[in-house]
Amino acid sequence: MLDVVQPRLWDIDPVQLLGRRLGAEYRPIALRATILVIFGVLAVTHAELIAHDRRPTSVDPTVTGSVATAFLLLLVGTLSTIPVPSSVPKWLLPLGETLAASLVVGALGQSADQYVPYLLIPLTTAGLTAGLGAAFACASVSSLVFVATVTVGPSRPEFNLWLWLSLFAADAGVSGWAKRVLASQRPTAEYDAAYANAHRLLSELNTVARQLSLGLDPHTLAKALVDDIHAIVPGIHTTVLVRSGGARMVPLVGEPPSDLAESVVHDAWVSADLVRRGRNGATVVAMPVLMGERVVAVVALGASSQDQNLGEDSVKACRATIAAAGPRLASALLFDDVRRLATVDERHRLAREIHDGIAQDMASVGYLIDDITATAGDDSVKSRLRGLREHLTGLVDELRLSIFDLRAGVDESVGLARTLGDYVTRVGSQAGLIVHVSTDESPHRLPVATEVELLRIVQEAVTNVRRHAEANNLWLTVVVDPPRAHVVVADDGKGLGVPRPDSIGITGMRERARRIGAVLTVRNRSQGGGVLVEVLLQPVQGATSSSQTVTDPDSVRLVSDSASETALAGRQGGGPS
Amino acid sequence: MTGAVDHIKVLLVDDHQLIREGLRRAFDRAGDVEVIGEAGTISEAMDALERLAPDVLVTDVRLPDGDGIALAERARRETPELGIVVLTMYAGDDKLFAALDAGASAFVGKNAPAEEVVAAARHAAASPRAFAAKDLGDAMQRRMNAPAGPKLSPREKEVLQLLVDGLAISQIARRLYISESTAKTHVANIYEKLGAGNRAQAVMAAVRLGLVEGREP
Repeated sequence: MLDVVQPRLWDIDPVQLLGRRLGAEYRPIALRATILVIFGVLAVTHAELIAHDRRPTSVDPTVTGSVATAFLLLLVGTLSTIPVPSSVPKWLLPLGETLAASLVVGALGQSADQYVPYLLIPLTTAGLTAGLGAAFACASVSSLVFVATVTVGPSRPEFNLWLWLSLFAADAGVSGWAKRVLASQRPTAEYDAAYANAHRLLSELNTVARQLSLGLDPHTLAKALVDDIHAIVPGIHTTVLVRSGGARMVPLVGEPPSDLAESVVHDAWVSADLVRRGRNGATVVAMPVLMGERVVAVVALGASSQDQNLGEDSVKACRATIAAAGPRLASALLFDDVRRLATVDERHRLAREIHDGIAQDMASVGYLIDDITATAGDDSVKSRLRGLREHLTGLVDELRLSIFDLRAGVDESVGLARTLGDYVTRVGSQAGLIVHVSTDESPHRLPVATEVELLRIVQEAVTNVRRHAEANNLWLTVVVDPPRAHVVVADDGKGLGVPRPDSIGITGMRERARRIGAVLTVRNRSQGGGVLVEVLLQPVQGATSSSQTVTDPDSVRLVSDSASETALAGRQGGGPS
Repeated sequence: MTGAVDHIKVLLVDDHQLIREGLRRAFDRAGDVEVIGEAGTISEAMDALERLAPDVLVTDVRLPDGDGIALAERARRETPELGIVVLTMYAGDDKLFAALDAGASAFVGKNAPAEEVVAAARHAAASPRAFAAKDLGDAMQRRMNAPAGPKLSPREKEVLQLLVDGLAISQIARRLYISESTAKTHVANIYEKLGAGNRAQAVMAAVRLGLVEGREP
């Protein structure tokens, strides 16, 4: 590899065009070859033009010498542009090239005079890559060689020694100074390298995310990990926990840990090593999922009695499986985080744009209509204007709610059920609906990404009710019991006329549900008309210890005929109701 | 109030010129109101408040250089008898309650007809310290319907449960993977929300309010 810092001179050189086709590593030698050809041809044609005039000598020796020098210099150039390890000092190659080229040009005398400009190349390279000191060192070397060869070597009447010496010095000064200016204009090479690394990682991540059939979804990966562990130790209670918002440990897959497991998980997290502890016949083994030195998650295995085998061999096998899954899970979690932050940013930007743009414009149009209404003489015109005003007020209302939706998020300090309840109450009552909220929330939290998606699904469902249902009542039932959640939005409106499974709203809800591994059902209520939207987050894998149930009397009433729904097939795995 | 008694002097603050124009027309039509100045930013507004001494300040919530509610709060502190009308495009209840807390006289959504803004300005001039908002009743009800009793966050509930279980603060911190100082902050917040001065009072209050479950030993 060549030095990362390519001299900027290349960028403004016409050789760049050629260099692009040749590839970056051939650019320096291409530049040298071009210079040699140009000066060689110029010198030969110049010599022919003046040959009849002052020096009636034959042209041939000049041409021969010229070509020979050019080849020698090209050899020097090739040798000094070969890739070297970055441990080689940057000044070494330009200095060597300067010395060799000066010797060639100086020793060959008059026939090589036209190639003296070639020396400016290593000089400039030294200045741009290694700085002022190296450039002056090169300038001194070539000056010494020239002074020596002009004094003791063959005579060269046309050679203007002092002109070239001062040119060398000037070039060294300019290129060294240019390096400083360029360096001050852009971040240091280390910064560049860091960005280059980050960029490479991100593009790899992007490629991987596109190529993986599962994507980079933490849930899917964690579930796959749990499946792998169950293949080694069947029937073991497995929980994959990650850190979410602050210091909270959240189960990504599996049950929230018991008191015993909680302390074991904590110790595994802090020590970044396997922790095993038993109490009253129950054994818990917690293993960190590592990405390098960093703990990204903890896998807790719990055996309730001795018959479940948690022997050394199976733990060792689990450990190997977990070690292999570490980088994948870490990347997925990171990717999830990046995506969520980007989404929040974009939603807020959109909200600001609507707020400051079209919403204000529409409001001002409203005031304009108010003005026209007040001054209109004709009663029929007035009443039509009032109708228009009402319509416009409705539109501004819609925009206000859109802004509200876009800005709404989940809060670290307020539970999801409360957040959903507040949202539905606020928006439902603005739309003139009677809102019934029933929530049941465990102190454990779901992963942030899951909470956000559930909020968005509820937002979409409520928007549909507001816009299309013509309902009187709106019911929200939320049961959160990580890793399970059950959210139902129902209304008593006109129902789903013709089912439109392809409608954008429903598609969006379905995609969101899929992303968090939940099942979405949208259908007409069996009694009383209206639509029912149900999201059931019910881990199929890893939920082996469940004796609890996510259903409560309200949701049972609302989904009484749901047994036939294929969408709810997963529920049977959740234990007796 | 200073100056003419029959005319209410209004200062309009909104960064959208079309909104200001629309409202100015509405105030002109009203007859008893006069727009004596307009401002597009908080700094312009502060300047105009001092220079023009209006009776009523009508301000938007979102302004390029800050928050209209903060402006209302400052104006209220400096001129206790100033009428303040807060306009907003935001739909959440939080802005309404923020305006109430800031000492505004009225709160009007930007979806409402201009006449409502004029009416709010009249109300603000007449009784600057009485808060009026069309949505106030509903918003209050929503706030009342929110779960009764002290609102503990889920985290605080966890800490409270552990307090009731008799754990020391260091044990609580360890159990919840939080630092001891964070645990102390949670405990202090719980005491404050429950009106308790010590652990025994907090436990009593928690049990009385049904905030904790008894746990088998």
